Amino acid sequence: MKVLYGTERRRQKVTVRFLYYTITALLISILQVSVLEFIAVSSITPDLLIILIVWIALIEGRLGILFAGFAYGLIFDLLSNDLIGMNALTKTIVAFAAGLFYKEGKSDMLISTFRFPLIVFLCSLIHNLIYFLFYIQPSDISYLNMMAINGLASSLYTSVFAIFPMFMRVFRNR
Amino acid sequence: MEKLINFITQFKELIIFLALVIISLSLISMDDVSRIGGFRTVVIGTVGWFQRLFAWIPNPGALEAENRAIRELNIQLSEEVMRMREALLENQRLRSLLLFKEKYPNELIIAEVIGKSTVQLRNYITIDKGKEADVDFGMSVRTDAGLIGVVIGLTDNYSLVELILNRNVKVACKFQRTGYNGIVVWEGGENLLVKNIPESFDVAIDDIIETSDFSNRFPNNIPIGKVAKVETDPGSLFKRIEVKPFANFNTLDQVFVVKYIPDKERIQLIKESEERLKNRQTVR
Repeated sequence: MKVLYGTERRRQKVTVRFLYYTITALLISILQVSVLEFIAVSSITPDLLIILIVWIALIEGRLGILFAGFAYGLIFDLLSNDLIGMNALTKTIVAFAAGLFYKEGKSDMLISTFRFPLIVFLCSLIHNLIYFLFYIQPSDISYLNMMAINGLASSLYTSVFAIFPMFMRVFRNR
Repeated sequence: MEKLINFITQFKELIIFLALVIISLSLISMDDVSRIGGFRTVVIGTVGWFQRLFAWIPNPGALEAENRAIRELNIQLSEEVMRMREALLENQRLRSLLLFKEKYPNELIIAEVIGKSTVQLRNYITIDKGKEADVDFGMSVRTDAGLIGVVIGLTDNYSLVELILNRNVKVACKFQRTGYNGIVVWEGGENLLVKNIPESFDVAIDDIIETSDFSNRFPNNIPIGKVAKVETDPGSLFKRIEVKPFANFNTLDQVFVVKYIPDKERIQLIKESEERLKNRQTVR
């Protein structure tokens, strides 16, 4: 009975956390589409939603983040006037990829070190590889050029922004 | 059944992942936003409100890009204005040439000036019409404004024109108002000179000078210029008359070759009599 009670509490805590994550994702999505252009470098902005998804994946594990990634991607699709399902797909894949780095009880080790921006970079790169594949479909733009210029730059910019949550975690742990 | 449940439990993440990917791809393939049109309107309104809320934040990158774009646009527009001005002037010039061609009795060959050269105060132009366009030696060349020269060299496609701003060119002329005859010469500078006009003759500023019937090189009645200055030389019986040419020699662009060749028999006769005179002088 005691064990069951503990499991229930844990589940509740996870639900509350996911509620917070969802609110954060919503706010990040709104920021992403409304004010992030202020820090755009040659029209390239960091993808803050990827950072959040990687963060959640490294803390919560593989299963939950798959649904979260899909849901946040869908929210972003609705907010950003993008093709419905585009970000749902790419964010689900990012969630899956980030989940592969999850190690139970070692989330701090991953987030509070430079592994975190590195994981973000890799996930962002995977995200852009898929995203640009769909993005350039109706045009004559070269996929390789698009990836080499915009994909890499966007991934780098996103991973630079991943340093801020990393330091937040470092200071919180102290 | 148990195996299936075990399989699903074992690969549940992968199965969920694949299911979500399939759902996403289905959404992409549907590509139908009409069903969420109302929602999108709300979203656009909300995002717009947020953007206006943060609009006060300066965006140096965007400002720099905007500045650059405006500067580039400014240069493009300046060039466009220049081109339009040139086109307007060209249009006016061509219109006047067209009107002139219709009015002029002699047959004309329109030519473009493709080169200018000055050799020791002798001015020439090269035009893009030659033998193939029926241009011939001795034909006069003019603009709609007035006489500019005579063809002295020919190839199939080009002609060399000796301008009247040339020390060895002498043009028989007449004053349009009074009918007096004289000789137009050039001795340097922008203006021409009219020689052989006696002191007593009535010459006024702005009198129009044109080619006379006495000319053995140019057809008559081609305007040359107008009197700009009249001086009396105390040591001479003749007036010193400066004539400002009608044609602007600095901006020659399109010209007309007048299909008029002086009467060869007449020229021959003049040459023979000149030679005879010279011989008589030598004998004396």
